[in-house]
Amino acid sequence: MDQIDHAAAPPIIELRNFRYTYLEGTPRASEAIRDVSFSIRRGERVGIVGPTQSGKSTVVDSFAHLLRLKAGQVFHDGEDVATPGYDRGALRRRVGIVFQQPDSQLVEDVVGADVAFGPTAAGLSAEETRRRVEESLDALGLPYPEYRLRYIHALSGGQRRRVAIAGVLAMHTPVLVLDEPMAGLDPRGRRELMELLIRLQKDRDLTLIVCSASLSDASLLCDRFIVLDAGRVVVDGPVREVLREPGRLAELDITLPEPVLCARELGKLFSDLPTAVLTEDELEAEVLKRLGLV
Amino acid sequence: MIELEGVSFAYRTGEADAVHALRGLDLRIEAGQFVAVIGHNGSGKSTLVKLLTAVLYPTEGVIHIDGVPVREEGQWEVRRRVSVVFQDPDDQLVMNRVADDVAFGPENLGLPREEISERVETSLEALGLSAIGGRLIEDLSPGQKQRVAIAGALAMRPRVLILDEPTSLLPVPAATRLISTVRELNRREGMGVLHVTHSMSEATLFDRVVVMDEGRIVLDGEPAQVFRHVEKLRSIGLDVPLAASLAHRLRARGVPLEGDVLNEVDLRAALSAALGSPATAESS
Repeated sequence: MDQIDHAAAPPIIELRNFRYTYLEGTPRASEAIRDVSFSIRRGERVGIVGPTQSGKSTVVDSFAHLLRLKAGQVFHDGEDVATPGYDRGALRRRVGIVFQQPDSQLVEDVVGADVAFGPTAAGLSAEETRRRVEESLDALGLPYPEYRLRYIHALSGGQRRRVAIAGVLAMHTPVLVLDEPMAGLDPRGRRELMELLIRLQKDRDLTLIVCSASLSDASLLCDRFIVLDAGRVVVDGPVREVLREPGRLAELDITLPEPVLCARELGKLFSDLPTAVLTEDELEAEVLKRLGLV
Repeated sequence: MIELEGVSFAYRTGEADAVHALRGLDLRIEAGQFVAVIGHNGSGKSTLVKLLTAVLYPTEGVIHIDGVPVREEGQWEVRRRVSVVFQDPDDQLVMNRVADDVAFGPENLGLPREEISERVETSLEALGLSAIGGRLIEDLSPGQKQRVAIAGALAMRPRVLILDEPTSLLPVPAATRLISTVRELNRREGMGVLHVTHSMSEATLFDRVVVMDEGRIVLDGEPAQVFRHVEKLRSIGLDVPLAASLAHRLRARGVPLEGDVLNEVDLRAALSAALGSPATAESS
């Protein structure tokens, strides 16, 4: 791929005064997005966070034009995706979405066939498809020879989620969107998936978008948070800046990172203790400093 | 009132690829206890839930619930005593409207109409849902849906309520509210609660924590006792609440923290006591 000056190129995704009402014009109309504007540059790692029904999933669906969008609101690489004649197929080959429930996007019985589904449908050769299936499964820690013929229904929830991610990865989309990727995983599963996503993002220079009601895992995966509430952006900034003022976030029905919660409480003892701590190590160092032990 | 003696269970018994999900489990849970079960994926938690709800039957050993043996011939006797709430409420909500869904179970018991409406009303009230009994379930938030599922389970008047990871799809504040509602029910109605979770900080809210690994119980006790085993828990893919872990590290650095530390409030109190006074130089 050509070298692109990321700063000069148009944002890979941009929402401009995006509003969205489901079932608009009917008695059951519900306004999901009131006014949302932001832009995401290529290679960014962004967490779109907020309580349930804050509009996160609607925003995610807009990225791949899965809604009845109006013109002038959603842009991909500077182009309005709602322009008549815009190639939605091409858009969806560039924006890969892993939904919260892996079962909602697993379509075949067997792992290898499922991961091959997208590349085959996109018209890639059998040889190229096989190469991508192997590469994607290997990248997700599901070695191709061992897993390609395994039945999906016999896999654990965490493994099924990895198959769903592999299916999206096989499409080589420059944008990878994950909706609640950690939900339902145990502590080890979360840690493994997190390390894997961090590595994938780096290796492939992906634009990574993580959508979650938990700032906990998102704070380790992302550099920037866009916080939504009731269909509006309430905060948008670097992760540490957003966590510096956790009082506002604590009022929303979201999961704050454990180190931040702990630092808030210990702040009653050490008034200068920063709340923007991402890990236990950072928090420990700050506490030890105040105890005069370092 | 839940008694497991030497209970084992294997999927595909006798075949080369048999999976031994539970291995000789002995467990006794008294009536009305408030118990959390933790373990990594594949540790046997879900199999245990299926055995306690008479969906599966032990390959070896016996289970008694309220004195009733869990076996195929008596499955309805067991299921009348045990209600279960799953991870995803959409898996168990069957009707369109809240009150109708809560009535679904009692209706299937063939109870008189008055008793059904009485059970529906009290269950909705217990979960704080009285005002939305007529609402469409599809319009509710995930936390509200999970409350409807619990109200439905409650309307069956079970002796034991089994919660199979019902909080794993909820944000922490909603999950904590749900647990405290269930806690109230447990105190008021004397109903036993067995809660399966991946959240260590949630497990600290229970009277007793049972830790499973490889189909066995590896730790069992009050939260403070269990979460003292930091290395052991990590070695089986679990964790301890951050405050407990931090206390563990600070003690290793020689900070004299007294008492059990399970959450950030405990940690602040212990640190404050170690510093000799609640106010420190920094905060003056």
